[in-house]
Amino acid sequence: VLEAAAAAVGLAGAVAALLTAQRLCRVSALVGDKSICLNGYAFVAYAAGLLVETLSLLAAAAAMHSQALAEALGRPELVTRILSGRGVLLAAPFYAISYSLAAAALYVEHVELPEQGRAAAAALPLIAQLYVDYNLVLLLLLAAAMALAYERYRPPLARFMAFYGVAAASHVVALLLPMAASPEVVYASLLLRGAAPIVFQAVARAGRGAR
Amino acid sequence: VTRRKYRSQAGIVLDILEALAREGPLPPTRLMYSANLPYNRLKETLARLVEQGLVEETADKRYTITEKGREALRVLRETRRLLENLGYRF
Repeated sequence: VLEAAAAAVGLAGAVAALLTAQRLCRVSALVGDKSICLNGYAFVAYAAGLLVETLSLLAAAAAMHSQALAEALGRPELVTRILSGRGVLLAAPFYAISYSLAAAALYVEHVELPEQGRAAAAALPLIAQLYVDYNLVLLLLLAAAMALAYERYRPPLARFMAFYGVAAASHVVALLLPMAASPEVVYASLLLRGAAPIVFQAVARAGRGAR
Repeated sequence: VTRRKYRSQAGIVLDILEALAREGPLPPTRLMYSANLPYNRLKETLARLVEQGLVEETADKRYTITEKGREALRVLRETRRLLENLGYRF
């Protein structure tokens, strides 16, 4: 019952968000204020998030009722749980885009920038929305996966951390971006993420050589 | 520290269109007081509204609201609450 209600409200919310977006962009053209239409785009992204989440929920519900799939996957109860939560993850980028656009619209319309120094402070909510949320979620996901794997197999810590450790560090660095207020941190973050599989390969090769 | 509060662009357009709908054709100086706007800002906004066909300039240098302008005013009145909820000031 809750599932059906969530799907129905999700779909109705997506339609309402799209209608709101249409109204906002119409008014934006009338009054010549682009920030209003930017808010409209935020609602479009929000609607996309709701649709993705709702469709994932329906797909998960369909999978739950599919005996063949349950048998094929071997562990249907676990797979169903993962599928249920998948929607939120898939939709998260759309919500992040939506909130960032809404913040950008507020920034354009309401934030005064009398001094150069204040510009960075005014942009902080945007930067925080763009990077903190995502990286915090990714870091938590990665930490959970690492903790589970470590608990199960107790691998040599240095080798185990070769990939996951560097990848996690890249998200920690990205989390520091709003605090550092320095655009270079973005590159450092990407650099670390790119380096993670290279370090992983190198450590694996070194391990083979030592054997 | 007190911060100045600005009307949004939507708020300014609404005030101009409402003044013209309420008081009929007005010269810019009168409209300036009715819409509570400085002259430069008013001229700038009026030029855009004329270009969009929401307002017309009459032969005696007054400004009057058009049918399209009345439709825009209706849409703006309907959307006002929605915009206020998004943080726009009227």
